[in-house]
Amino acid sequence: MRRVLHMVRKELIQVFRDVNMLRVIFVVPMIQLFVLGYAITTDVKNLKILVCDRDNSSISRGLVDRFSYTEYFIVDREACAGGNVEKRLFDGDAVLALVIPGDFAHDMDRQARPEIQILIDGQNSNTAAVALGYCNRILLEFIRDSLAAGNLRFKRSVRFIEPVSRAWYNPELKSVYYMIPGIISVILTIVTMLLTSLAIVKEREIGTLDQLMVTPLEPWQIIAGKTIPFALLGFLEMGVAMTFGVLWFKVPVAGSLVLLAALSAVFIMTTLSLGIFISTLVDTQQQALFAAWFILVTCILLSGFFYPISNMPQWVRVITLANPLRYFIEILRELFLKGAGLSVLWPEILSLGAIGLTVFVMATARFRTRVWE
Amino acid sequence: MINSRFFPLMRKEFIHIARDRRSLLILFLMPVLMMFVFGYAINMDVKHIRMGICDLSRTPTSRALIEAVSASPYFDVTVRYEDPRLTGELFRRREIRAAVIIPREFARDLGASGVARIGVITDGTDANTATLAQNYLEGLFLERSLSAGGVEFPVRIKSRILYNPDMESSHFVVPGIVALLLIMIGALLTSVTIVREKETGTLEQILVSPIRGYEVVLGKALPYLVLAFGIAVFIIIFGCLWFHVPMLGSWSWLTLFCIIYLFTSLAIGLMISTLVSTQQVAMMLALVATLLPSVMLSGFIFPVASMPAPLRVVSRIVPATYFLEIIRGIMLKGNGPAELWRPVLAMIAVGLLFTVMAIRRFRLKL
Repeated sequence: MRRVLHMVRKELIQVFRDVNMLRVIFVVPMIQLFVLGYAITTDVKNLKILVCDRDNSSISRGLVDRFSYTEYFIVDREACAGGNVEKRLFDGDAVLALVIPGDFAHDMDRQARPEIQILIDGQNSNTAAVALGYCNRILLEFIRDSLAAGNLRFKRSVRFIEPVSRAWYNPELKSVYYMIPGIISVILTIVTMLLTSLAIVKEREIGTLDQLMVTPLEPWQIIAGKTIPFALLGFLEMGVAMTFGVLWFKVPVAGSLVLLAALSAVFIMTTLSLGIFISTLVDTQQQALFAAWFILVTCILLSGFFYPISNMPQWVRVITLANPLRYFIEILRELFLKGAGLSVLWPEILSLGAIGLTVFVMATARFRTRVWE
Repeated sequence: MINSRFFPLMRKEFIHIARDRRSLLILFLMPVLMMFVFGYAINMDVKHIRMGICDLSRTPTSRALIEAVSASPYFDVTVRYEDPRLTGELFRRREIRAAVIIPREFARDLGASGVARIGVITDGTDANTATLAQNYLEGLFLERSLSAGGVEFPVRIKSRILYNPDMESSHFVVPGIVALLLIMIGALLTSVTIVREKETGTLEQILVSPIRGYEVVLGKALPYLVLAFGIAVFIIIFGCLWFHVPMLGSWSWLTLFCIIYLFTSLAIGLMISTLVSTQQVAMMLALVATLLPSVMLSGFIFPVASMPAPLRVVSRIVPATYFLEIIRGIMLKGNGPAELWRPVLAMIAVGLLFTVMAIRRFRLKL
């Protein structure tokens, strides 16, 4: 055991000696947490909408006002004057346009059902769908209120179902709460997986791994000595990131911190094992980097971090079952916001543990054969 | 500026690249694999939200409403329960993500006062899905209200979706993945080149030779530009053939802008390379600095316009922001330089900024 401790000490000295490395491990991720925490929302806000109001009556102006009162849209009323609406959409000047026909108010009064046109740039199908939803809702609300106020000569026997909406666990629907756990997991994965694989490959590249092998150290001692320091670093990183998230973004931590620490340990063990595994596959640090990068991007995009797994095709969903990040993000979110405990999270915990153990066994087995090949 | 000293350096770098077969294989195969999976996987439409319904009213009116909700592709009504107090438990067990509670006096209120309230509860843990679910439901109820009243809707709404009429998200995602992969490959490739020479001590040998600083930097960058361009062509063609992403614009403009973009991403890598002194730090920095910003700040999935103002400023130094606009504009809309000159110029400016910084830092080292 003393031998392992010596290796751990050496490894820690190596990391802490390198100021640049410390900056990359601690400062850069915190800046990202800070910046990216604000960035992500699939919701639509401040979208520029070109409005061409050919009617220009008090009713049509009232409708346009509805659009400008929301935070979703920024209305550009001069769209008719500025030439062709479609041309401006093509130029990328805006992604959305509303065309109100002439005689709109008049036609509505004589029940001629005037046609309002919504033109939308469908490139980003998500933004398009959300924006279209908002447009429809604003129009519906406008008509509802006009009916209620008697502005339209219509029979007024309409009955309204009025939804009273509440979002539990996150009443203001702040996407920050949703993103922070994801960003923390990603940063943790980068630091632990990449650092471990690089550290091992570097020793092999410069030949010091051979020197270690002729020492009385057992293979497991070498592995332990190489991974424990990065596990400690990972924990430290996790602690710093969480403190930052809680203090700055006020992310609530409703669940048990002990459980969080235990599960983080399982996750870190998984990513470290992945790091060892990568190191057995490659010869140079650059190859290790590319392999780690590939695993990382795949894990992130298939984790449900940005978009729900339930949207993916069946065969992709099967792949995500092997993704440790998927479980860890889910665990963090449920634990932070809902205070979920073992009784609820056990399927995720079991899956994460199983993946961790499998990768660990595979990595150590390969490491042994590789060391004595 | 190009002289006889410059080419041997380039040749050497080419040999380095060609010798490392395993890296080359990774570099060409991985992007294709990633594009294949993500082209299918990334779908932002939120559908099949698991929903619980607690109908206390149990009237034909409430049942008609429930049917309307069940018929929507956005919701799967998975749980029906009798006791509204169970809602919390269902959320905690993650059986449902949204709940509609129809109160006992629903039908009576609707008949008497013409306004009946209905409870919509969403799981805010996933803020995005919750927002969408609320919007869908509120729109749905409004529409039902009007049509149930026998009112012919006084206005016809005609929406036309341009450039991607089928709302095919792979058409949006595939060009995005091209942008994401290229910036990362470019930055990762070059980030280690100069550092590796620093580590092994060969940089000093180069420095005592009569070669100039910018020649070293360019001689290191150009071979990787060729390599990265090969990868770019490979994955763009794959994306077009496999996912049938339309190509409405001109290939030659796309090629030109793509080279500018690659040059920018290599410049980032080179700058990192001059900043640090070990390969490990260079790789960590390249990965951390390009991965999350290019995914999250560029408009890859999340619209830049919806970000808070300070972040929109930050997104302007992420080169992927510009290239996304360019590649999507060319492929999906058929834009040309007349429409795209602004992002192109901005991208060149960002690229030059990084290059100048790299060369300056490199000189300081001398």
